[in-house]
Amino acid sequence: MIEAVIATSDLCHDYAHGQQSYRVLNNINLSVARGETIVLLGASGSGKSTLLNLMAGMEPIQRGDIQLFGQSLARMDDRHRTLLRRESIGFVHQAFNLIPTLSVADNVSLPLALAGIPRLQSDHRRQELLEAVGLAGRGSDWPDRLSGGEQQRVAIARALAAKPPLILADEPTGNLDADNGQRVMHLLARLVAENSSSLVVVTHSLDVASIADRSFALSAAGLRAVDTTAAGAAGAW
Amino acid sequence: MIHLMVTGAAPLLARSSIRFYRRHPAQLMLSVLGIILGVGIVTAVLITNSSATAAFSLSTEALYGRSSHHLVAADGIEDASYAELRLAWPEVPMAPIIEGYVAYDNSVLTLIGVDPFAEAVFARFGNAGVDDEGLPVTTELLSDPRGVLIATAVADRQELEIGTTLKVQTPTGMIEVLHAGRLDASNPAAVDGVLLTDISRAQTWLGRSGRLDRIEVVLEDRDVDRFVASLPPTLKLEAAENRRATMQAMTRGFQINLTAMSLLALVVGGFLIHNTMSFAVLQRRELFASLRISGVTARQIMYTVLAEAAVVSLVAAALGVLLGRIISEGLIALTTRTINDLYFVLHVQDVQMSLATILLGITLGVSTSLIAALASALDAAATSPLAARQRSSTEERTRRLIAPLAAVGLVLIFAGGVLALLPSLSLLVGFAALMLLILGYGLTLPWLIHRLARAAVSLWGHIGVLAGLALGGIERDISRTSVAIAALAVAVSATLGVDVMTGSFRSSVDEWLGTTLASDVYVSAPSVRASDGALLEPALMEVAAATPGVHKVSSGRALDLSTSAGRLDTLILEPHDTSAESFEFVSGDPDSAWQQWRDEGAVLISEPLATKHGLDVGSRMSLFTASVGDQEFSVAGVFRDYGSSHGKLMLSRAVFDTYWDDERINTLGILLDNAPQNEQAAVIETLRQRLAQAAGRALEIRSGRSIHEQSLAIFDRTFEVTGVLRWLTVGVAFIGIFSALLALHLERAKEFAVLRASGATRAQTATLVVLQSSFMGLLAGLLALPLGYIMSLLLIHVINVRSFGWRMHADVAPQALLAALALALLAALLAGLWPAIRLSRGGIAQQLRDD
Repeated sequence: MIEAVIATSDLCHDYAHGQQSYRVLNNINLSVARGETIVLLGASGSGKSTLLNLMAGMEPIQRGDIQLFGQSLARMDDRHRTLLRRESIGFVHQAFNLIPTLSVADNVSLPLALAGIPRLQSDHRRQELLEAVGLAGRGSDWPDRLSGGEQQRVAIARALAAKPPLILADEPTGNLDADNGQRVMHLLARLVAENSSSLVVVTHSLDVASIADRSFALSAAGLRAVDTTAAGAAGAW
Repeated sequence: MIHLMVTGAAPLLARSSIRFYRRHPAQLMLSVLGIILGVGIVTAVLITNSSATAAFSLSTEALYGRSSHHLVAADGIEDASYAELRLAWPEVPMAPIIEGYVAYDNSVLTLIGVDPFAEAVFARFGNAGVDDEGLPVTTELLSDPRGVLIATAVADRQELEIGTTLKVQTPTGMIEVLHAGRLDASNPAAVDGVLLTDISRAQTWLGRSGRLDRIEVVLEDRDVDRFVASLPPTLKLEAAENRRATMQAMTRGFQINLTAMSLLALVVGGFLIHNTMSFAVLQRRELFASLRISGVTARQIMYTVLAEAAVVSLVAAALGVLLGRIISEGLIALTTRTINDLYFVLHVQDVQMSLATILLGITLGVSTSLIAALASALDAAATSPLAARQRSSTEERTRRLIAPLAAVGLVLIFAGGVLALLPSLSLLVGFAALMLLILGYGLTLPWLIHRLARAAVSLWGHIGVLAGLALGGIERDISRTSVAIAALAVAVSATLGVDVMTGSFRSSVDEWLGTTLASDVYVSAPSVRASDGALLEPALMEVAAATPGVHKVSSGRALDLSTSAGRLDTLILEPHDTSAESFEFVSGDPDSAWQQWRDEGAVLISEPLATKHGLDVGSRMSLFTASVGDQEFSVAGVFRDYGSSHGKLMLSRAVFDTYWDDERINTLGILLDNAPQNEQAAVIETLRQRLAQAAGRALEIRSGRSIHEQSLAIFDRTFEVTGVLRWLTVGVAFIGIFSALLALHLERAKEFAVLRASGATRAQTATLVVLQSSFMGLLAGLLALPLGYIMSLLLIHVINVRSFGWRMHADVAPQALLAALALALLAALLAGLWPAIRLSRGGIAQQLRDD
């Protein structure tokens, strides 16, 4: 059996809205193997981002569990979840979420600095990543001087900086046009593969699903494996 | 505004503004609170000053009644002179008056002796104080030899029933008086603190039998010259108005200083309002950009920001005025105590809050807010719609602006310096210099902050990721951080300036007391107030000198003399061998000045007197003497004196004896033989017994040290008002920095969420916020030091000299500098704690969603 990088078991999550609560995740069971790329499809509000946030340990688990490298996130306090995230996860956000007051280079260096990587080593890694995403000459620029595609490439470089074994990407092409989106996805897939990391991508774009080893559709009913080619044709998800 | 109305966009823009503040209630509340406090302080001081002035005017009007002039003499008028005048001028209404202080139940009261039969025409105390015959309730007053009329306010406060007796401390000892009736006036506040009795009784109780303080007269203008011509040279006619003006002038410097302190709080408040408005604008740059793209003009944006400032400040200023009314209660009590300690006994019963005060408070608050908001409004209007969406463009624009701003700041500092150095005695010019300096320095601060933050990054940025982020954040976010740091720096520098000034003043007074109180022991008659001039028998000097263990004896007599420089506290000194050492001359050669004063009939004057009247060595002054009336004297020297801001004159006993036939003294200064402490104590005990026996009553014998300590205690009490204002200013500053840091950090909530998503722990995030806040506090503290120091120099060498005539050396205690640093650091640290807790506890996903 292939060792799972991350695995959810009977994961449920509710959101409270005033007196009422509604369920966004219902008994989700998903396992991601080392080096595997998973695409989660779903309509807006289906809970894709919530699932990703739970997998990243950014929200406390209400019911069920997530095993990250064999460790239960449900039993972990915030500090341990954070430390595990720092070591194991890189996150790519739809809105890029670059820190506007840090230069492009500093944004990429941030996870390395948090991980306590020595300066020389960190500088080398940063340069390597900026070259890999095609922004070697833009390190001193401010993020808001870059185009959307460029900003997302910086975000990818940042997510991969500390060589995390798992990359979580939340609608990484959501704010980009089709061409840019495709380029960014291919870049992400290539760098993840070079790094031998696993990748979980949340998207509503079937184009993105083309890079997946496995694809799933998320809905109120739960998680369901889909054939993206057929699904794309039929609009099944 | 009109433009907005015309376009019809105003309601939409107003709704947008309201929505913004509803989403940031803490920010709104803090900015409102800053203005409330600033306006509150100013209004409280305005109310305090007007209440004290009104109480003073009310009481002088009530006491002086219709009198147009006063007749005075060099040291009281003999009863016989009054009788002669009445005979010579039967048609001129005259009333003899004697005034002094007595104490009852720890409160000092003014005892006024009047001739009930001469009073009617003077309409003293308004109509309420007279009986059917127009006399001030004479029957009650004359029915018992102990009878006094007690001001209704005092009687009510002390719960004194008519017909009861009370023990009152007078300069001649404890006496029993009978509460014969109530002293009323049209306005009861006018006679608060007054005991009225028959003149002969008052003379006995005050130990001034046979003498009057003044004779009040009602003279028509046409009769004045004729009347003056008929007077003997020993009597002088003064206009009643002059006396009032002199007394008001005594407290003017003090009141102006209070006002200046409160305005300082408002200036600090102004910086903080600017701070708040800057944040409110910076936070909405993207919103403004969207509005601009939608067709809203730059001018409309500017008006919107100004309208926000106007509405917020109007509400806050109105609340500030109410707060001022509350603070003024405490401030009036402190101020009255200071006036009573330093100048004269004043009872303030009514709090004066006129419509003018209310309007002035509101106008000051709103106009300061609008001026402070103007820069932000212009900034909001000047940014191009597209650039406003880019955060980096704001920062770059700020970086480009800070150097020219610093240059303008330097020009203002230079202008302030020139104004301060102008040879003027104008207090207004002094304050203008102070304000220019503060403003100028405030404008250079962003540049300095940027440089210092950059230096800090290169020095310490590599220590750790948090240090790097914290320090780097200050430099990178310069548009936000510089405003917050500058506001805190200005506030802290104001407290440092006042601290150094007060400290320097205290150490100068301490040093001066050490020099001036050259005798080991001082003897005086028991008195209600130190300055009320209770007399000692001259023969006591010989008794003291003959006591074994006594080395030398000097004597002093205090008089209120009429001079060409107005009425002046005068000390007539018969010195002993070392008395000269107790004077520090600030002008004139000490040896020659002393010799001219002692042997050649010259006078010595105090520094405030010289400063205020432009007198110096060689100047001539006219003194109204007892024997020949006006007589000219030359000034031999100017001595340092912190005893009276009004000015002080010193005459030698020999000169006094030439022009006055009056041997009486007020104090003895006794120098003991060098001996062990226990032997000196025995000498003092012997002195106490011998002097009491010779005087027939117990006398006050106090060591120089205890007078020194008591004087410093009074000094400290005097500065309690300043202390209160200073802490209120610190309160304004704290609210400002709290609001700035809260806005700054909460604005960056998403950045912190990204940090946490990237693996920063809650503790690291909180540490980052606290580190950055602390470093901002440290920067503010360091930058406050030069401004605080220069401000203290201005307060000491310009404002103080122009207000009081006192010069002193600047004494910068390291503790004051450390305290300023600690204050800035602590304020920033405390202000950073709440955002640190809030940001570290917030959910990452939630913060990432909330854009």
